[in-house]
Amino acid sequence: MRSFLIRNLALLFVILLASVLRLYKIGVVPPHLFADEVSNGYNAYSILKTGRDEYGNFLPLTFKSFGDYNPAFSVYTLVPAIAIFGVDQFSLRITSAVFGIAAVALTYFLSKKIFQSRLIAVLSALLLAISPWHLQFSRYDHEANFMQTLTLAAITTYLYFGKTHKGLIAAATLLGLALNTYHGAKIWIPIVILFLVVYGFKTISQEKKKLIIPALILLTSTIPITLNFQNALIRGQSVGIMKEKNKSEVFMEGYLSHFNPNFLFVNGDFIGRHAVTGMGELYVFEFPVILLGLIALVGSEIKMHKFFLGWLLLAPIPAALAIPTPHALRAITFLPVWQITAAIGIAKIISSKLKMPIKTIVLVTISTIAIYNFITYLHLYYVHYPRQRALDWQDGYRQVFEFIKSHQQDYTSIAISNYYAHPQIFLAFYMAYDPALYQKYPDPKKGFDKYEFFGPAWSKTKPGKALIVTPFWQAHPPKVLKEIYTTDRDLRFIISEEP
Amino acid sequence: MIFSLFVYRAWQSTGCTNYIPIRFQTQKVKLEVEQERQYDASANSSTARLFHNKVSSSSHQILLSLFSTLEPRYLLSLVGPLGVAGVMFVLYYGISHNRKVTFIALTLFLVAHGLSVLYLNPKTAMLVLSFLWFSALASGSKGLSKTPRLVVTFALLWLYTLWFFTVNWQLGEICNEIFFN
Repeated sequence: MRSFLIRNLALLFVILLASVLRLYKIGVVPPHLFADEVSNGYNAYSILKTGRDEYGNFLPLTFKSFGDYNPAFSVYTLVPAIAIFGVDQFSLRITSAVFGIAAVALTYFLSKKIFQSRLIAVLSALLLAISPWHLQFSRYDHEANFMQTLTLAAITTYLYFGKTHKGLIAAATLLGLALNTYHGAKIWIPIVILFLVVYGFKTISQEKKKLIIPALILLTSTIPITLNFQNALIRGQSVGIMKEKNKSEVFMEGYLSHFNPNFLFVNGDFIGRHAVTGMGELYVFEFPVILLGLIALVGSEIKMHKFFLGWLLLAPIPAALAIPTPHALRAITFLPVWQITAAIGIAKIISSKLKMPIKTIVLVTISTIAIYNFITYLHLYYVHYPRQRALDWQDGYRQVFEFIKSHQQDYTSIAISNYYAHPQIFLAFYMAYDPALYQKYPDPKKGFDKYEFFGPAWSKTKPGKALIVTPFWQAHPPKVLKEIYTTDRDLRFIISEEP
Repeated sequence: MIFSLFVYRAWQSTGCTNYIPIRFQTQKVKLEVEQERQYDASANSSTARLFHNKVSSSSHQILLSLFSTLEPRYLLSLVGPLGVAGVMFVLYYGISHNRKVTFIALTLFLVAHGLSVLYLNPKTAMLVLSFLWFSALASGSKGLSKTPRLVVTFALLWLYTLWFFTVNWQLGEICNEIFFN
């Protein structure tokens, strides 16, 4: 045990670092739950309590949510966390954090298998542990994070145990689960399967009988998609490039945009929930070492090293088939290849024949820039980001429902503006509203129980005292009970009373 | 053939009356520092100064400026599909056959590219960058003509680039306003 700990001290340190970075203040940063997170969370709560989703469907294979029919995996994985920690921000995000930590460990094993180097493996895992791109999506509940971790697990399993029957079954099972995590998986997982088959064709073609059960597992995993085929296409139809006139031009532009150095190293994704403002998806210090790593991979004669070049070229395809681009979330398929490439570059410097003083200067310079980049990221993420992007995270709703929860017994009706989308699901989640009752209402968007949702203006339709929640600029009764501010101290909601 | 593309594109750019600026602007540095510091009201001034200062902001603006000329859209507008794909191939070929020389050449190329962006006006920078990229392509002509398949691919890309330059007469990524339409 002691020798195991000593030999793997570096890996244990990296996993500890990854855990701290993904769990620290996870309930507070990002500053609020996004609508998709809340929908997943409430559906998971509903499954836990009743075995049915918010619409009353028993153990569904896809979740209707806001009409986009999301794959089921991410909702079911939330159930244990909600059972243990209750219905709140922390319980929704901890599962994603755990998957993120697992991805860091898997990166270590994947790199070690391919490069047979503990140094490259530790560096790869470390770079993913501190990666802004990976941290962003490990710290909130999104299906893409589950997809990428499961894909990584499948590839690692395949590389370690792909020659055995059990290994192939395990890899196929993981890929089958990955296929049912995220809409983009419908494109990415078949690409991964094809890539693994082509890559390991010689081995696979010699042992065809071993492929029967894995193939059946993969086929079975497509059942949720095929049973709900029309609905499974809805999301793709709304964001896909098929409706564009110049599809090939749009695709090429989208594909190449993911290699844009400004997107990778300077500005990142412009969508507020996908990146911290003022940072790229990768650190600036990674630019020269990635170049070195790419040169090493291209010049290598080892087939396994070319594996990553293939991965790099295939990774932007799912993101390029949708708009807008570049898109850090859909391009999560890149991870952890950039980090592994950077690790190779650093390892090349360490093992180079440069004279010791020069090598030391180079490594110290890179390390200094790396440390500065990293702490700048932490500062931007924990201090700036909650304020800069409060509105992207629909900040304000939680504070509204905390107020309602403590005062609702004083009112016969509670009316909430639906200007900021989906107040009904936020209400149900934050109030931990009984799912068995919620399911009975045919259209909760209009109202349920004593709660009603209104459009441009509210008018009293029921007798008794009413509590009204409006955006700050909308007309409201004169008696104001509370003003709700976002993390950035912008006025967001007014809570008023109508006697 | 490579030289003819460079001449064609250079001639097209003579119609440009208003080049898109690519050099970093010092006014943006001060603006960026002030914008970022407003979010540091809760942090002490030393912390704010550590992360948001003219050095870090200048580095950020310089990188933005340099990387904007390495964007795929800009490069396609500058040297066309043949230039981009061709240089990628030349790089791949060079690394596979002579890594050391290719590494040195790549380093010098990036330094020349960077200095052109930082010190030259947009018009001269555009011509110099175009010349650099087409020269890099020409330096790998040995590899590009190695097999009949590569020669045919090169020829097809040349034709496509010619068409691309003609269709993209506006030089959208390089020029704000072109004289002849």
